[in-house]
Amino acid sequence: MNLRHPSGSLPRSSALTDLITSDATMPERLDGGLRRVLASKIAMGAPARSFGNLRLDSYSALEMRRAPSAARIFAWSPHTARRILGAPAARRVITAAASSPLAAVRTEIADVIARSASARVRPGSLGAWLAEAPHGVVAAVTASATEYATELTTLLDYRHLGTRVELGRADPIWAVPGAPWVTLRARRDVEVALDADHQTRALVALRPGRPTALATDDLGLVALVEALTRPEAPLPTRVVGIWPSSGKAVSLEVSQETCRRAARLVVDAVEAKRQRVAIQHVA
Amino acid sequence: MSTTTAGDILETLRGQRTNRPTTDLTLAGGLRSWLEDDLSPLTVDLSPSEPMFLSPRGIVAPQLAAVPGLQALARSALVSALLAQRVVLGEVAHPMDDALAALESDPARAELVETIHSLDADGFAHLAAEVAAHHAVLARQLGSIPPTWFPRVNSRLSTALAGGRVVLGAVASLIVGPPAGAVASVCLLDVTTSTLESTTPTRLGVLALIELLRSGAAPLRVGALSTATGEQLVLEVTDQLLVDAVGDVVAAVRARRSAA
Repeated sequence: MNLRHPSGSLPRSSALTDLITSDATMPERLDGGLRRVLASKIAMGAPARSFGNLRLDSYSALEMRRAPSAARIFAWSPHTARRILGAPAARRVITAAASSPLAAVRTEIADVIARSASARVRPGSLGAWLAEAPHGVVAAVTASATEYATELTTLLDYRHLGTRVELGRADPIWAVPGAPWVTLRARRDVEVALDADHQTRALVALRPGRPTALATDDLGLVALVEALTRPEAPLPTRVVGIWPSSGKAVSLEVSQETCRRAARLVVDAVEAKRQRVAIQHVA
Repeated sequence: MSTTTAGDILETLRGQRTNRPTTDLTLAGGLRSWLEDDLSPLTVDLSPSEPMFLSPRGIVAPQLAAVPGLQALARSALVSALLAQRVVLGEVAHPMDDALAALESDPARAELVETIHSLDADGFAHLAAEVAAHHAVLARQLGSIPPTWFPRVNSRLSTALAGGRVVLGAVASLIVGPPAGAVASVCLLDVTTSTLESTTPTRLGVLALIELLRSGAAPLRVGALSTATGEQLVLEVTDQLLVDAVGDVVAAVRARRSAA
């Protein structure tokens, strides 16, 4: 596993930008055999469709390695709204559409609420929730999203990166052929084009807290899903994980072995999920 | 310790733009090495999978840091929510209602919210009055913050030491200023519902040290504001403050290891 770290120079944004944009290795595409075998193993190993959709991202796949915890029902909260509002707000700042992360988040919230009023949005959407939320909740959401947007806005030297950087785009999702109720999602926040002609690129994933022993597996899974959803492009050159609250960053240089390891992790997670579903069903 | 109760603490914290110290690029590495050297022999039998967690409060008052009362925890959480609201929305019309709504929206606070709701009418009214009084201090001593100062509230900061065997962590009530470049630019404010004590400078020093080790650059200033008394304290982040903080961290780890 090839890992690289940023230099200790300041400003940190320049050091991270240098790490992200350093020379790429010879681009290679995802092994077609791996794609077929992975799809087949997931289709065979996943819980039946009747047990509902199975959405796996790094967090949920790695969670399967731990002892089962009580199932959580999704609900909007400052935490769950943080990235959804914070990432587009950061894009507004980078593109000079807003003067600060806080101003951008306020605009983003107003837009989300306005869209929810247009009747094109389902009930229970973020906009519908925010439209009815008391002041205190809106404040908590704004504060959380502003922190995220600030981290993203100050993370890299965007002036140096120019138009090569894409920020806050929707996460790539791979619906498994043969088992489309199973989807893999890559949570990454920034994409930087390294060589437009060869479509080489680096991905940046912001993560909370501090890196754990599973950090590189997390980044590997991001690389795998990115490769699965863009078969026409080479593998991402690297996935850079950044943990702003602990000031840590690591670059995972992506290879076929990175993807094979991530694929095994996904297959293991699907198998673990099937066993849990079976136990719950029997109980 | 020289505190004051007058003035906008943020103006004191930020100071004049033209009067900021140059960032010392070697300071973080030097202090980290010093910490690593002193902590390694003390923590050799700890496992990185179960690190020793230390907060600024835990370092200055290990015996008191363990269990504040639920009422104190609730008051602190409610005032933190109001700080966030003042910073991002600028105004608070109904302190207790707004703060409680913020807490209710956070599943991680469910237990605390349950505690608040389980108070009898007198207990609830007493807490609401306390929260309103603390908020009045915030409103008086925390001026409006321009969004271009990049304000962040209730931010978690941490840094791992001794191969991950020790984790220094803190929640900064308020951070302003973009990440440092050539000059120091980040200021941290600790808002507390307790009074300021003789140990407050030590606590602030450790907070500054965590920020230095996390970001690679020393913050410009650190401050504390007591919403109980209105006292405020602002410290320049000097090399001496950070060196003292290194000593405090090592002493706290040694004390914990001796007690274990």
